[in-house]
Amino acid sequence: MNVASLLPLVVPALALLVTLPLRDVRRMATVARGTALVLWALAVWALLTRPLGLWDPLALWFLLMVLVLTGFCLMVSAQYVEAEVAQGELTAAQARRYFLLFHGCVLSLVTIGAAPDYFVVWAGVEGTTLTTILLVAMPGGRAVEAAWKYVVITGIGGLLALLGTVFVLHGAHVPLGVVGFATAPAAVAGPAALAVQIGFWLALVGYGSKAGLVPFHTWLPDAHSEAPAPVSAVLSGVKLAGGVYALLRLLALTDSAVGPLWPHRMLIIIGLLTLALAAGALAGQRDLKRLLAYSSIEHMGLIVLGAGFGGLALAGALLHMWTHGLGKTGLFFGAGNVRLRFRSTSAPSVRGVLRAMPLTGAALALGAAAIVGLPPFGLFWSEWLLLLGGVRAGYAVWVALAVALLLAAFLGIGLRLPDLLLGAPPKEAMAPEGAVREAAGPAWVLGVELAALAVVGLALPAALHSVWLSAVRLGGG
Amino acid sequence: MASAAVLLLLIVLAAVARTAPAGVTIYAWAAVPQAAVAAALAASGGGAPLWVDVALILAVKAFWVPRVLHRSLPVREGHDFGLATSMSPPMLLGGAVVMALLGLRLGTLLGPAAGEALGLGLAAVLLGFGIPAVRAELWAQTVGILLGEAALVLTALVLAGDLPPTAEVLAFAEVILLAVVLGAVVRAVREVHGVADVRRLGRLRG
Repeated sequence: MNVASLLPLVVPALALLVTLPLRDVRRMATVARGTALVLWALAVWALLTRPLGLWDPLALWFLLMVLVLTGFCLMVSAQYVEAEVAQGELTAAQARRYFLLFHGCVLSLVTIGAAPDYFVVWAGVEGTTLTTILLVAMPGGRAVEAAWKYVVITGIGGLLALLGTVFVLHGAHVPLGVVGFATAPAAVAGPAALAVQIGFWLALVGYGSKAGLVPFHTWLPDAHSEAPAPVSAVLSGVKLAGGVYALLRLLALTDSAVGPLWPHRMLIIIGLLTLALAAGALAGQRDLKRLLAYSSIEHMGLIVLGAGFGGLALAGALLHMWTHGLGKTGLFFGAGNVRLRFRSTSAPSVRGVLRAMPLTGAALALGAAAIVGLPPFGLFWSEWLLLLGGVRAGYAVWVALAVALLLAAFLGIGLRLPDLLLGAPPKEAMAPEGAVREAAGPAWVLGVELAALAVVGLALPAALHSVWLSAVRLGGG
Repeated sequence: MASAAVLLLLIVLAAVARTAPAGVTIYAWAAVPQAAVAAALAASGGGAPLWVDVALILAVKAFWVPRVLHRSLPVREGHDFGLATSMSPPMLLGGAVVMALLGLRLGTLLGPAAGEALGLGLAAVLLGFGIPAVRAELWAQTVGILLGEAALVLTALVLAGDLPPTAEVLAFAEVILLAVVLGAVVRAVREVHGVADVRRLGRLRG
């Protein structure tokens, strides 16, 4: 193992250590902002130099996403915590706990991307769960209930994923102590094949619970809706993708051991079921954050579906991780702004966002257009590639079903969002004359992310394009 | 195989334990069969790392985690009517038998060499993780999850003979952190709701 591969871990680890003795909220926020800048610099360095031997392309693709998106989340966290402390919603001690846990979460997410083997990936995924559980519980009240559901379902899931990993490696005759992401030395049959299959089942249940796949998704809408907005953003935009990434790692090994037919069929079925559940639930949501949470379930279903189709669809699925992450983190930042102004995220308490907060309202409207897959945003192209890949792989009927479900999801969001954005806002939500109407930071971050989504949609930058293609090849696409 | 059978028995006892101290004590004793499996593997040529495992299992799971749990879990939730379960006792028993048979069947299919021990281990995993589904008290659910982890480690050891050092270190870190987080959330639930019972947590609909 090359020790330099763990370099990105140093940044959040240092941020954690520096925050530990701090008592002043502004200094903690400054550390968070500084960490974000260093993470972005690291992403640019890794993208441009592509240091050979440190990470394979699939790991680099995920790691870059983590570095970029967690940077945004840290920036917005700094502003969010300062605003909450100013409004008396958080004490300095709670703010410190928030930043410590958030840096812990970033450290775990970076670990997933920088991990040299299956067990370290698992540890990273577990780390994100354990830190975010406490972050979800922070607001108290109903959030504590959400945290309990989260810890039980994903705690068991994480342990099953570990057992699944051992089963797959053992069945595929890969030495457990080997560092790296191996493929099976040869196809296996009999009890060994059964061990691989049981292992993949367990991993699908385990990592599936982390990614919010049906039927282990029930924690997700509660946790996402009750958590502070930047936490919801990191959960939805990055952490869920971490579960899928871990699954993709084991998928390549499972394919090489027992052939691609069986595991891919399972992924297609789970992906479609997840998509169907989310599409059905979206129209019934009156809370902005729950709406976004169900939309995340929908997109995770779509990514898993793409992984199941394989080939070109896998390219779409990998691109979709990025595009969904960019769009959804931004939308949760906007939802956080809405909560700061309306003290709620649910209709009918929330209405007329466009009039009360024009910048946030417009950004939310554009973000919603992006997340339902309208051009020119990147989600349009990632979904297009994913569905086209499905047709080319011979799954036209399944693709037709997926398109119908995507349309239902589109209608669900299209029906619900106008209730929140349009109309006259309640009087208490209007800022007094001359006062600041909205926190511009999160709305601008959402704007930057939308611009990035448009860039990805129009022309993926060459360096990123090259990493993406290499990652697709490595993933078997 | 005897170790796996003992662990399975302990998990069945935990499923019907009436107080948190009883549940935590059962959890502490569950470290013994795990340590016994690791010791047997070490004695049969597994080497020094497995002896380190034995020491770590006993230190972490028989002493440290139970101490954390004793401090963070409520002793009893004041149920005068006995166990707080979401299933009737016959259904609970039937479910346990089905889980055990399923685990044993899988173990047999996976290979005759370690088949029975593996089967018992898998049955223990299923039963341990089944406790949160049937018990309403949060302390019982916590003990169930941690016992499921204990069964899982035993099963992995039986299956693979050994685990790589990174996996072992990470698994120990996981169980320590999981115990701390579970305890912290149970405490938070008690502070907010007064009682740490899952039947009081019905405001969120998933």
